[in-house]
Amino acid sequence: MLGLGLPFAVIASTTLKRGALMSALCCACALVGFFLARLLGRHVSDTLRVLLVSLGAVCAVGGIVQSGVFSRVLIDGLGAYVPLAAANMILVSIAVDRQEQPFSAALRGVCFSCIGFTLAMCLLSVIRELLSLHTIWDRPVQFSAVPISGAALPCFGFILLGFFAAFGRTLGRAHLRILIRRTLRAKREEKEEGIG
Amino acid sequence: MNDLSAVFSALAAGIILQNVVLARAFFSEDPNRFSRTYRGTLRLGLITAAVAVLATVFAVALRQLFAQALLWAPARWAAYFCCVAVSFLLLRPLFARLLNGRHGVSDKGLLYAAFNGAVYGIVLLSMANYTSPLLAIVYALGCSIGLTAAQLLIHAGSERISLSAVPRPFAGLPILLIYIGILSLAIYGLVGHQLPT
Repeated sequence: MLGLGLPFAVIASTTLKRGALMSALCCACALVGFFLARLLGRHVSDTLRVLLVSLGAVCAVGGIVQSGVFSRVLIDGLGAYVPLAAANMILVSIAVDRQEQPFSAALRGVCFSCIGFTLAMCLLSVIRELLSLHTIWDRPVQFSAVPISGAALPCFGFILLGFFAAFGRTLGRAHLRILIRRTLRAKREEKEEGIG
Repeated sequence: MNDLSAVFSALAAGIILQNVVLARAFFSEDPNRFSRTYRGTLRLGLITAAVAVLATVFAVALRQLFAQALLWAPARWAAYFCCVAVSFLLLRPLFARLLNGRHGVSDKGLLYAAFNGAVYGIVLLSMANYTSPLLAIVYALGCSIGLTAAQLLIHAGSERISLSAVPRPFAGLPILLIYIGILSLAIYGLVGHQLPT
């Protein structure tokens, strides 16, 4: 859920291609930031660590853009949102605030955050693209409803994300309820076996 | 007269269009994470504004000095980012004195509030939208005012929402996101449909 609070990613993800690009950039920044924060360790102050990690993420974004992995048209279309992927404090905090954890557990946590973020962004952008343009990945799809141009607006992204967050929370609660029920049942059975 | 009108339009575009309508500043960094009072949020907003404006001044100076080198996008991004970092480091002692641990703002809160994507975004947009140094700085000032206003709006909204009976799955972040979306939609409706996104 922490990764969902990224406004610029929500605003920029109006199509699946854009959403995928933003997710890829954000994940790259989080991973580069994580390794950089680990490398710096406790040798520098918290402030300097955050500044250096963010600068490393900016350089990573620059490297990805220059590598030519993504099309120039797509990158130019996103404009200022591309470098902004690197300066998000939510990503930086994911990378920096795991200093106390063992390396493997911290890396797993960062990877899970990245996967969750990518899934949420792709789902959000697919819905917005389908509603506003009647396409998915720039390919037209049969969709009987009238195109809703407003689906590409930032406000629609925020509202949709709010519903996603509520749905995710409901699923999380249901999962927790099932776990608690299972634990209680196992305890009850143990107790009954003990009495028997 | 034309210059004055250009300055005013840059200021208005910064305050209204970038922040409230395009929702760029909303949820930039949830101010409630760092401050639970209006005064604290306002101070954090002013701190953010100070960093953004000073960083834009540095960025304008850099563009004047190294115009050719900054044509390469990654170099430009890194240079503007360094401007934000230097501004933050320069102003940090002043902020520490201004807040002095009051309003529940920690050192980490100060760092995340004054050094974030919204500030960097203001510098990037100011430099991209305006070639005139004065207009770029005025635009950054407008964006900063809009950012502070947006943070106060979120603070006020979340305070009222926390006192309301919200369905359990929507409590907290989901209802705040929906509130931000509706607020952005309402102001978008007032401004009109011909907007860049």
